[in-house]
Amino acid sequence: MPRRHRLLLLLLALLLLALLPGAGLLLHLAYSALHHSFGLVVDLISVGLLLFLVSAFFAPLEALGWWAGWFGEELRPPESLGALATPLSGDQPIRRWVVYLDGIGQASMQALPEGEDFLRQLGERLPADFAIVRGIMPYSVVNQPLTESRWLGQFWRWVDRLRIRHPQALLGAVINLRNILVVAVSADQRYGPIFNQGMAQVITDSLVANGYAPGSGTPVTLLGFSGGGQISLGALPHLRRVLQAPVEVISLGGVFAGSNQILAAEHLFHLVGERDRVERIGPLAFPGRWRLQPLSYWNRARRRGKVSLISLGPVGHELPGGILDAAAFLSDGRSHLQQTIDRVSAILTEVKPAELQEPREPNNYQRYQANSWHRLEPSRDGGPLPSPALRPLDDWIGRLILPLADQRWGGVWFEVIHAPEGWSQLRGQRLRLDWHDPLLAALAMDVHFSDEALQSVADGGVHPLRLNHWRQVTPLESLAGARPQDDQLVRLSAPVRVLPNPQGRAALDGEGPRLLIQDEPLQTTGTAVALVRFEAPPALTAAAVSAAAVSAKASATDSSTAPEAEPPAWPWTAVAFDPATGRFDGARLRLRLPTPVPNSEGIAPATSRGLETAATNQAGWYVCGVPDGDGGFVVQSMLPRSLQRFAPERVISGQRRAWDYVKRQAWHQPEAGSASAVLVTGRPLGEPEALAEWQPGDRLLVLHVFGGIGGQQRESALAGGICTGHFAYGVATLETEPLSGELGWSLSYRQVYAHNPDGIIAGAQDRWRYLGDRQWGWLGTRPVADILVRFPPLTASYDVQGHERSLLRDFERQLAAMTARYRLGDGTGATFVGPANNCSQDSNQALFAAIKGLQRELRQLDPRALRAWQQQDPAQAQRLRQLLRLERELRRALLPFAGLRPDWQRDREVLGTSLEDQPLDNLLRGLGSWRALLPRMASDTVMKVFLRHGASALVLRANQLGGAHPQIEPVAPLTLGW
Amino acid sequence: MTEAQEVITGALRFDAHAYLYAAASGPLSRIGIWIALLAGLSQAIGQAFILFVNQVRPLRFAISLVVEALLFLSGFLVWATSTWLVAWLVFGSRLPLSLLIRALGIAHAPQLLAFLGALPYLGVPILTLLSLWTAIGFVVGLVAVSDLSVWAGFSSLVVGWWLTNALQRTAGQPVMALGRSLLDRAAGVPLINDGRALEQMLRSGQIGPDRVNPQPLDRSGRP
Repeated sequence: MPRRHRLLLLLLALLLLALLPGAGLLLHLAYSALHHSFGLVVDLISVGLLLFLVSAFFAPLEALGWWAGWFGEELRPPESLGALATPLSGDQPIRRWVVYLDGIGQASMQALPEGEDFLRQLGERLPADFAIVRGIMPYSVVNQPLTESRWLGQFWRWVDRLRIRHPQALLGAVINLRNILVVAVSADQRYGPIFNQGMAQVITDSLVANGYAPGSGTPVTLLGFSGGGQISLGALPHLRRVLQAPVEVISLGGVFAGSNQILAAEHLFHLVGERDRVERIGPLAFPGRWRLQPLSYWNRARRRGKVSLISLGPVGHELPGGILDAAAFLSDGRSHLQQTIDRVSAILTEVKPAELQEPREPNNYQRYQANSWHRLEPSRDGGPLPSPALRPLDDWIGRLILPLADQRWGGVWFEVIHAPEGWSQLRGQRLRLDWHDPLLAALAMDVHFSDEALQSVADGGVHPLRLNHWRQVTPLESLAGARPQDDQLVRLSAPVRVLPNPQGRAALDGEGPRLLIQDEPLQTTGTAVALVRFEAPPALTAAAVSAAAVSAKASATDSSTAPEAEPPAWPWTAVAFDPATGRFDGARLRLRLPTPVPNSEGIAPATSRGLETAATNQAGWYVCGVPDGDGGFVVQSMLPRSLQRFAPERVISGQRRAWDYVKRQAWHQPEAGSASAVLVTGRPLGEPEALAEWQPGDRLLVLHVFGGIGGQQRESALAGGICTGHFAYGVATLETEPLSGELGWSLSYRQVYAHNPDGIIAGAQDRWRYLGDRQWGWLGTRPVADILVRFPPLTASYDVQGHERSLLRDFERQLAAMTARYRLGDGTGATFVGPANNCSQDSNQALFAAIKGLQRELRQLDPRALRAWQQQDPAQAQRLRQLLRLERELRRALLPFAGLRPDWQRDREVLGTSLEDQPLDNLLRGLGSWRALLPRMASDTVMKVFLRHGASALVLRANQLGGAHPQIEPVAPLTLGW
Repeated sequence: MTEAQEVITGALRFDAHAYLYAAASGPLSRIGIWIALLAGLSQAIGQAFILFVNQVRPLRFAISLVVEALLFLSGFLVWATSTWLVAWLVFGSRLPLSLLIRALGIAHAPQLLAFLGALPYLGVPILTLLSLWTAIGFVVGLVAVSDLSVWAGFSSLVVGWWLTNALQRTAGQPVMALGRSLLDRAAGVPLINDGRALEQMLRSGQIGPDRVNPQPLDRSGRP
């Protein structure tokens, strides 16, 4: 039985005994018998206990009196503050400040002799840019040593002398006892807040007096021995607030409660020897340290990997044989002190282990690098297009390159892969790219990875590690630095301003023109696009045939689902669409369809098996990619024409029927390989009128939802049997698509996406990248819905006193801000999904921010001007009224308990990075906007409101499109009926 | 051991004889009042941190403790009277009021230790334990001096307590306000004792009452 359990049982037995009838008499008899035999000893122990109670009673007095101002208003003289253990050399900036809080044995300004030894040697070991502050009385809010106290100084000096001469003397225990009581004060729920603030003030003042600049962000380590551990953890949250810097705690045999806000620490390193009896008081006496309290700070911090328990081997607590004993030796010949110094200096100086760690297993992002045809290669990708049937995807396409840390200016480099006519000489050059939007200036933030983020890196997440410890990282930098390599291919949306190089010099690297954009660069795939129908796959080689036979045999369970052979990647033939004839009789193309690398669960993101015979091939595919440099074209991304053109199969009008379709039929029994496009309208319109509304130039709001991967290769996320899915907003513009001459759209998403192992980056994502990409996209594996909402009050622009205002545009900017925060996890390096913060909650938070912005602006108009404005353009005013009505209803639907989401009311709040931060609060907040909790329910809720206000929408559904992939099946995301 | 001591230790042990003895003893007629008063003082000491948090000066601190004890005593008397009313009107027990006050006052004996509530960390559980102890004492004391059954005694106490609370919130409001203002006058500051407000006060902006602004020293540091 573990020791702790034995002790608990013993305590329980004692309690029972005390409660039993007659027990009092028994105890009395026992006491009398003891007193009879060992009279003096028993009396002494009784006196000791009484003294203990008395001193316990007065222990909080110093802190309380200090708070109440009983000790006068005098300023603390600088002599009473902590001082540097070793002088600093020159003007070298300090990398880290270490504050030493001695054990509960400390009585005077001098730490225990062994503590002084430890500090001296540690100072010698650490590099010169570390500063150690010592001399802080870890139990006195006025930093007054016991030996200098008003009333009992003489007594404590005597005890101290005696103790140093004879470490084992009983009287030394008196000091220990006195200070254990101070630990109890710090852990007390009433006195703790006062005492800990007082200690935090002593620490802050000592740091500042020695040259620390609060707000500089220089990290601080609290090094607490024994009771110093509790003092460190108690002062921690206050220190964090005042210093605004990361604070970590190293506890050497620390005795501390579990109710301290350990989560506020960067990390807690707890070093304990196996023979340490004092440290054990902590896990025993403080219920927050018990496993029975899973929600205590201690247990939550442990679950989140914020605590490292480090064993010191056969080491005790105090002298002799303690953590700081220089005369006791380990089996490897080092003294206990030496080992402690080794460990502490390693923690302080080394980069934290996880920071250098590669993911334990290659994540999907690393796996996919093996697909060389999907890797970004600017020289290849910018080559001449092999066929006239291909047209460039956009004017400006290029790669984002993160500047070096010492060459930053707030923008990033843009390596031009494709430039519009007139600028083609810039191809291959690196230009400065700047993004100007006043909203974004406020979004620059310092990045310091939390331990949780580093843990997530080790677990395989793709995080912006390159930006760790950078100051004021801009949204553009976070986009360029989001992945370990500079492999972010983007399109720049118009308007792109080209600012000439002021010197007019020859365009050297970085000295060419500068590019200035207003919108977030669009993450994309490929540089050119064509509309084709696949004709014939490449002939199967003998090797491929036999490989297929082997794998068919291996899959013993069901031969019907055994994979057919994946056709070779090259050369596929396809014929291009000719808009003049309206048929697939244009140029022939030779295409390369590289076989994608399966993800860590063995699921291939796309296949090309039977592509030429699949139903979607009849209408044709838009293929997007890059020239292969050998006369062929690499298809990196594909989207079926049926999802890219305005040609609904059906029109459903009327609120009820439209809603029924959106809510039920659209997701009813999804079948792999199928796609549909249905127009729904909330008004009772005939089919021709419903269709005729949709005109080139219309702006559309997009609601995107995806589901899960089921079937034989079911994804592990579905292990619980429930698919929550994912939600995103997007925008689209109706336009005549030049390759087909049909009405179609350009569509991009605004992905509020938490950090993930796939390397998907939160931000504006092109449909080519997010959906169609055969390596990185979801079209081949997931069921998806893109609902294109046409609702002019939302999408049209308003002329407010000469300003062109568009709510959709404001919304895009709010989403750009939200996704920029997601990319950096508000400076912690990681965003995790929780009930209050996830894709759908935060997307909708951005929507409300946009609507509130417009309302604010209108409220600022003076009423007369507003009336004039309404009379001037009644149609516009009518649209606005409709919009405000929509807003009210959306708010009621999504935010029924507005009081629970103060973060949606204010402009900005820290992203709750995980449930562990404030579990109940987070859950409550999530429930405050419960309809946005589940992605599909959020989409449904928004759609229902839109339909009620007479919007029309094109519901596009696709289930695992592309080649045949019988091992997987689409799973619809969960929603709730109401 | 004096008589008073015996009564108190007896009450601590839930000894019904202690109550009967006190009820019959002439010299102990005021013992209930005294124990309740001292218990009030002990409780005030146990909860003194509220006075500290409100930054009450030392002399006023002492006066406040006494006022709190007196307020506690008057609260007790009201409660005892309500209990007496309930015992009489509901359960038909014709127990003299003075006897009931004496018994319930003696039952406050465990609260004499309430000053231990000031102990760091252990204080809060000790207070909980004492409350339980006292509550049992009330029932034992009441049953000992009256002809009520255990359940009738218990019900009288609970209903009496509820009645007191209802009174405090309705007709007794001016009296309560008077008590509060007495306490505030004694303390010299309007006392905040609501948990949430206290927490806010502790967290409000600055650290500590007299914020020190130290001058940065030269970088050479001091030994």
